[in-house]
Amino acid sequence: MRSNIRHRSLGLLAFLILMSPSVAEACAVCFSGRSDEQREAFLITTGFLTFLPLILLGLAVLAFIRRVRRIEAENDAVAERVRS
Amino acid sequence: MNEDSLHLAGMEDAPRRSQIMDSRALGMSIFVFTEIMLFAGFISAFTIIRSGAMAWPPPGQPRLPMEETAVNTAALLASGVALAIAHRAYKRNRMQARWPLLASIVLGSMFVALQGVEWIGMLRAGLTLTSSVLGSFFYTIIGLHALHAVVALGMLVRAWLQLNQGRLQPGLFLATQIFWYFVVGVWPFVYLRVYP
Repeated sequence: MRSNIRHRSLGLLAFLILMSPSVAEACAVCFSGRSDEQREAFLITTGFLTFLPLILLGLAVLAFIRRVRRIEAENDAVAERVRS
Repeated sequence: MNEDSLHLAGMEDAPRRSQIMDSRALGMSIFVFTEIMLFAGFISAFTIIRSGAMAWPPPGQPRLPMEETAVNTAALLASGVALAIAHRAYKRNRMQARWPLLASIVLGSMFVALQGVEWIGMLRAGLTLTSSVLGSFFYTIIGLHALHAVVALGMLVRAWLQLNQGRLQPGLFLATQIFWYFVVGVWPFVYLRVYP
């Protein structure tokens, strides 16, 4: 019973926290995000800035893996030549 | 480490590790990563501000010269192509890279010079850093790009001088290329977002 009340309270608190920025205009740019066009710009740029570093890091990791594989293949070829 | 110190450290039988990437090229890649994020931040801020504007360009401000800047853009892209040709030539025979590298420098200098001419025109037309939000963003974003272009051009010139003296190291050349490709690669995004 007590845990049920706690869960509900936490849920209510989370809901209030999620709702409060738009009411309080706590975000530094909330006051200007009135038009649909600007809301769309906010969404697009948020997505852009969120995914761009992930894409760049992903590309760097891929390039790293390819380079390591190439070096390993070259080392294997040299070792094979030495053995034969 | 000489042989004695290797022996003392017990490393004489340690397998030699291949370097995955030259340190200078790796450092430049990390720097370019941060610069890409810097430009992405500026372009995002510009996009948001522009989307909230009632009229664009702001009243009393000139339209940015998109058609004239297309020539600069072509020169910069051609400079990137010339550098790619120089890279291929460098792998075959180092001295063959001299002319394409020089072409890349000339085309890059042409871009910077034409940008300077464009700025003079914009200033005469009344677009200044403080005249409007367009002016602030224009001189900040385009100026930041121009600053990168000038520094990268300096690096290209240094690479060309070292190439002529026969002491250009591949790692330094690669780092220079990474920086110049960044200057060339980021420009179309800046151009297509800021100028229309």
